Amino acid sequence: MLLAPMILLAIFSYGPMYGLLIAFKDFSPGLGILESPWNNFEHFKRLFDDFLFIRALRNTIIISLLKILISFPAPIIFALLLNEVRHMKFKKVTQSISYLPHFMSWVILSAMIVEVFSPERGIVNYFITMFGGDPVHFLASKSAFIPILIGTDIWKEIGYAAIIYLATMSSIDTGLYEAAEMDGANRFHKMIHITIPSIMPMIIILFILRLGSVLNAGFDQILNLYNPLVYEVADIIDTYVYRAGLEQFQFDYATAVGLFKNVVGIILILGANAIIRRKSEHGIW
Amino acid sequence: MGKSKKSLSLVLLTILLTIGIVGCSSDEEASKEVNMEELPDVEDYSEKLTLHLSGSFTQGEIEDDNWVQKKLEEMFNVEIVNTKLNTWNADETSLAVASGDVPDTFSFTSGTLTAQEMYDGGVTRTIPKEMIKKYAPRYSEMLDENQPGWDLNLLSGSNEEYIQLTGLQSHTKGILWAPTFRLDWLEELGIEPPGEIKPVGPDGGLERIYFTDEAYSLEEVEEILKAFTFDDPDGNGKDDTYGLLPYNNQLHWMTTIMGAHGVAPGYNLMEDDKLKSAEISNKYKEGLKLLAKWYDMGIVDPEWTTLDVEKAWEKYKIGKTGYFTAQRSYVAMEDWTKLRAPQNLILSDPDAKLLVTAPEIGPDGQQGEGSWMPVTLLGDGFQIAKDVTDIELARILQIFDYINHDDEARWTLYGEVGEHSEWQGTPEESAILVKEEYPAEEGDMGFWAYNFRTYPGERLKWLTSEYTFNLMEQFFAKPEVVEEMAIRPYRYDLFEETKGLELEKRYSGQLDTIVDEFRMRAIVGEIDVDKEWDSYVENWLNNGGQEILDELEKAPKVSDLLAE
Repeated sequence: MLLAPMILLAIFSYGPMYGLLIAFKDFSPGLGILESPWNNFEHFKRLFDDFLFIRALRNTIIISLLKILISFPAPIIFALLLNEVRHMKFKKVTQSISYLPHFMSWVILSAMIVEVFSPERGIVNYFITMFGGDPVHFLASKSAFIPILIGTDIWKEIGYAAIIYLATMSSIDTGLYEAAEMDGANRFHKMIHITIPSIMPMIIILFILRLGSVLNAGFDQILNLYNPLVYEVADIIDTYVYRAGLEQFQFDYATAVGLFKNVVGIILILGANAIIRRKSEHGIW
Repeated sequence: MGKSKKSLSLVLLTILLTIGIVGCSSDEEASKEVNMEELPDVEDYSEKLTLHLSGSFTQGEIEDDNWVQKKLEEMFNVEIVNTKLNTWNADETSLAVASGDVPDTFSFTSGTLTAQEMYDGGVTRTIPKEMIKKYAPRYSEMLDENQPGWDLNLLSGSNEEYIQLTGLQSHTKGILWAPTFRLDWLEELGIEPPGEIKPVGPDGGLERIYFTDEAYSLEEVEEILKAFTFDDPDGNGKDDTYGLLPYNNQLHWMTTIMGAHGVAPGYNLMEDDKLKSAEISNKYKEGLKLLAKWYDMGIVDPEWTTLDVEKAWEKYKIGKTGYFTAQRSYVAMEDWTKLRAPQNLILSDPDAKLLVTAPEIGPDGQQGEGSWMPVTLLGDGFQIAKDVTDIELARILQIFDYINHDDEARWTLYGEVGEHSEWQGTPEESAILVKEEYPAEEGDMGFWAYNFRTYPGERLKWLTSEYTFNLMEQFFAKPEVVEEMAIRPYRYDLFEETKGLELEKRYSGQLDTIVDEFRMRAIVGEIDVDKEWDSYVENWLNNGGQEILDELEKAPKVSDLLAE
């Protein structure tokens, strides 16, 4: 029974991985992946010689950590709050509205965001000027750009990401809540002492997996929203490599960057898993 | 256990086969001597061939068995396999090249590799001169007439093999860009045009677009932009207009302003006895300082940093911008520029009037803009895939020669005039427009689907309105104007004899980032241009710029190339 999926996995997931070889080669399409010459880690040397790559690495880590710090807990809190809502119709409508943005691409959402924050037509600046302030060009401001990234990321994903926590909550034994009620626990006590501990394994698994993509700070989102004025804080590895690598047909260079990101990702996953395993009974492996 | 081992073996075998299939690449020599005697005679189409064709206008919209395809198939006894790739999309073309999955003929608009890199990388084959002369006589004639014709695109070290075919970019002759001003606003503000003005055409909106071959000075432009911004030129009682509306993904908006400082972004120049890239020249610096001053004065729309050119066109259409740089074809209201500024405003606002002037006059009396083609009108490349045989190439060359160089092949672009398309003005003297019920390109008709971007003979007329020709004649293509105003690079590697392209590819990501960031930050006043200039130049030079300039020293001077 397992043979067919194994074959598919081998062909489509593991087979193409040999393409990683071009990270160590000067790739020539005519010579192909295997015949292209080795280049003595030239792409990796180039990466760390390039001050713009180092800046992009720094930005990636900052944005990603901020997203983990702020965006990661947001759906947990949202799910906990939603779980406490007793009016089922309100709960369903709220949930539906909250996960709608997830299904829209960043190309569309970014057009909306640009309009919302427009210094001339945007609703945000409309209120600022209504109260006597000067319009602010948020998307051209280094200090405002990152909060906008985080905020819009939460707005887009909070509803959809909350589904998995809500599903986990629905499987909690209701007897626990009843017993807690008999012991005099209020709703807050139940949330703290029953709901959160019950969903903790799921939170930890998702957290470990999220760490694996710490060098993916949101390519689509940033590519569609940024401009050279905010490169200093918003140019991440993916956007820089897109401009310097893929647009210049440097697939080998782009692969080297991809490999670097994945190695960092897997180290973080293994490291986080090991630490969590040592401190608790949770973890992926 | 036995079964598991078998399964594992099968999986491993599959992986190996996958690697074998995908990784297998032939290292056959793509360039080998051709035996002309073994090839068919000209117009001998007795053997039916299957060809995978694409051209410069292939954008993935082609339908199988389209009208042009069927006629070509019958005429040349071929079966055409259409290319569904969007050759204007860099991601798609890059993947096609990387995977080696390219059509037999192609000319990618969104670039991937240079012709030499395509050949070196085993993607394309060479085209023997003998075959070109035999099977593409009209193309050969075009090369004879346009120097350096046969010297371009030669395989390194060969005088007989070409790595691609080239095109005649006659539509780029002369200078292209000019500043445009809202004439109705100028009239409202009591500002006189710089010279005698004449409407570009008699009707259809052209009667509201005026042209003069005189120009304002940059000081005058500054005063006009101020008045456009602060003196309520549209008379609505609101402070809602701006002088200048730039955009963030191209530099055409500043082309004549930089030209007035004697510099063309993207090109190189001699300054203080040194070869410099335009972006690190003092002239460019002065241009940036002027733009920064204008931004500081509040006459530049601050939203420009988040607008690309298409959004800027849309914004211009609202009618709140007084100045916009436009091509001569835009102000002649060519059909294909309908959505672009300033034609979009003329079409949407019946009261709007425009003034088109010669490029602004700079502090030293300089006027101009970067020449579209650096040296010659020959440019672009039509390539032949590596696996195409000599017999197939012979047929491809005959099709190429016919559809791109024989005026009788007009039907491949516009169908039958009268049935599928019509003359825009005087028959045989004006542009041809495809009727609205047919797709202008590709689709079920297949117009332009297999053609190359080249406009020899009558072709320029078919796609250019008489009003554009008038403007070219009056100003834009006048030899003295071109001589005085077209800014060309100081050196240019026309014959690709240096490693310039390789270095550009390697460093352009870094250098573009440095330049784009500095330019934008300078204009919006985030940095003081004078204070930061030296470190910017040093940064540019240290990140590959110096290497590029050193290599460029090996390239010929454009003045020598033109003299030859």
